[in-house]
Amino acid sequence: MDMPYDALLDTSDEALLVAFGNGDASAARALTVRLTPKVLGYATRLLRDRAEAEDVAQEAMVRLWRIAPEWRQGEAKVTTWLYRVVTNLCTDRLRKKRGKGIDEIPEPEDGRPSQDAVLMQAARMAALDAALATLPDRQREAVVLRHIEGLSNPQIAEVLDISVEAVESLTARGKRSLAAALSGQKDELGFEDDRS
Amino acid sequence: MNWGSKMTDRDDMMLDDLFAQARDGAHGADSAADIALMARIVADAEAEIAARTPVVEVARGGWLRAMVRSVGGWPSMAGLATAGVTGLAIGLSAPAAISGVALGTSAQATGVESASYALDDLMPSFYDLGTEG
Repeated sequence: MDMPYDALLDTSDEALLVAFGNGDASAARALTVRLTPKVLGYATRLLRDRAEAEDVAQEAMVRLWRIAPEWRQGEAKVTTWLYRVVTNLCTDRLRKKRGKGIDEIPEPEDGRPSQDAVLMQAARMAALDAALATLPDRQREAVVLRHIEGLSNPQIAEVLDISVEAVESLTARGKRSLAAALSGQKDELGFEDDRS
Repeated sequence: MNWGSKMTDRDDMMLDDLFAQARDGAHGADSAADIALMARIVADAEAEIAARTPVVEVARGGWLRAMVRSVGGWPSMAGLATAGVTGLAIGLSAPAAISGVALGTSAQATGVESASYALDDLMPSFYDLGTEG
């Protein structure tokens, strides 16, 4: 029996997952619309490869569908569980990619200064992605989860299976490293340089 | 790279701007590629539901096998079949003796016509044997 569409909008992720576990296909559609952009965005930030990120997002969602019938309510948030799966899948892929050789990892794009706002925005995002790519895996994951995905530190601790203190340390170091990586491009990206 | 450097307020503002832009663009699902991906994910979900639904196997010939077993297996079925065919043949050919018995019984029951059966009505071959000595 499928839920009415308007009922789906107010239903929690967990309730939808349980409904899907009981055979409700409409719950799966609602969860897909709600969670896929998050999963895809996070995977894209970690992998910097759209096609691979799509594969990871699909694989993570398949795992969610499979675990639905045995989902233990109240133990973990669905998004936390999903971010953890995506983190692990991305880590595996990055390890394999590094095994193939550094030449196959896409080079950071050249962010040329532009007065056009759209181009500037694209250049900024490319620069951020390139800077994120220079961070160690754990730092990058923590920074993306905290500052782009908007998770709380305890949630990130659960996703990465580390302490809250370790999350705080990772995000602080990650931000410092990002600032250092972007320091030479502030002018190009339209930010006020400390030297000016 | 200056990994150990302290962050300035301007660094903080720059990163906050960049993160905000990334957040704005992170979760939009407007492109055809996003929609195609969601379609694939929904298809996976529907396949998962289909895979979970228990398939009720209709045991073909199960009732027949059970019936045959209840009467003692196929050898017994051969005997039953023979008896059945014999009964059918008797019914179709309707020997005169049986017709006579049936009619006689009927006449007795209605009382319209009295009837009695001699030995030759029931067993013609015995009558012939008796008369011939």
